Amino acid sequence: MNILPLPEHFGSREWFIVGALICSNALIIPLKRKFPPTIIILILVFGLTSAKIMDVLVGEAPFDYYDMNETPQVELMDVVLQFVYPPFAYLFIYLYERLHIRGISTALYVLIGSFFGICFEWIFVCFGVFTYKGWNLFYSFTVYLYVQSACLLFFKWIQSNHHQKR
Amino acid sequence: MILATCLSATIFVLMVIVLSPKNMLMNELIFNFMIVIYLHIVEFGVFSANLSLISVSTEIDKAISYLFVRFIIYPVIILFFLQVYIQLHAVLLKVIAAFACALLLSLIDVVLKSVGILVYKNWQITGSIAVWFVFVIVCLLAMTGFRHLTEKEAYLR
Repeated sequence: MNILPLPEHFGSREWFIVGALICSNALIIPLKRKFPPTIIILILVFGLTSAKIMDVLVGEAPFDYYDMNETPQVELMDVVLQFVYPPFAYLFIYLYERLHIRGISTALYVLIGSFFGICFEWIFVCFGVFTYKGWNLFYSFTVYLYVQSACLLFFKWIQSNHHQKR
Repeated sequence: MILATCLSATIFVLMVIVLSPKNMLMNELIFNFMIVIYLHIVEFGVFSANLSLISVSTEIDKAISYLFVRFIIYPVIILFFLQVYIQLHAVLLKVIAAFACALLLSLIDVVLKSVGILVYKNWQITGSIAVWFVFVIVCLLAMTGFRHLTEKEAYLR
C-alpha cells in the first residue's frame, strides 16, 4: 500500500516532466508584475483546477479516453505534472493584457493559444506522458478553445470583483 | 432516478448558496471553491487508485451523479462551513463547527454508499469523519492564507 508511489525508473518521460515544470515556471518568474498577488494566485489555481477537472471528466471512468504516465495510480510525477499547467494559464492572461487584445482579436488569440496548446500536448504525447485511448489532438483543440475562453472570462470576472470591499 | 435526485439536490444547494448572505468576498469564495475541488480530486485519486479503498459505480448514471456531488455539492457544503467558521471567535466553537462539517460530509458518504454511487472496501464512519476533518482543516488553512493576502492588499490599496 503506497500513498504516493515514485516512478519505477526515472527515464526520459520523468526528465521531460521535470524540465517542463522548470521551464514553465522560469517563463513567468521574470515577467513584470501586472496584477495584484490575489489575482495571480486565482489565475494559477484556475490553471491547476481546470486541468485536473478535465483529467477527471475525460481521462477517468466512465469515459477514460487517456492515461497519464505509467500506471492508473496517482504517482509523484502526476502531482509534479499538475504544476506545469498553471504558469501557462498565467502567461496566457499576461500576454492578453500586455498585448491589449480586445474585441474580435480575442477570438484569434484564443485560436492561436489553442494551437500552441496542442503543440505542447503533442510533445507530451511523444514523451509518453499521455497515452491516448480513443482521444486525439483535434478533441484536445476543442477542449483548449473552451478552457482558454473560460480562462479569459474568469480573469474578467475576478478582476471586476477585485475592488469589492468587506 | 438517482441522477434526477442528484440533480435536484445540486440545484437545491446551488440555490441556497446563491440566496444566502455571504461573509466572504467573491474572489475568496471562488478561491475556496477551486481549492476544495482540486484537493478532493487529489484525495479521491489517492484513496481510489492508490489505496483501492473506494471506487465509483460503473453505472453511467451513478458515475455522472458523483460528478455533481464532488464538483458542486461537496464544495458548496464546505463553503457554507468556511463562512460560518469566520464568524466564530471561540476556539471550541470552531472545532465543533469543523467536526459538524466533517460529520455532515460523512453522512453524505453514507447516502452515496447506500444508493451504490460509491463502493467502499472496509468502510467505517469514524474513518470517513477523520478524513473529512483533515480535509476541512486543510481547506481552512488555505482560506486563512488567502484571506490574509486579500486583507493585506486592501490595506495597501
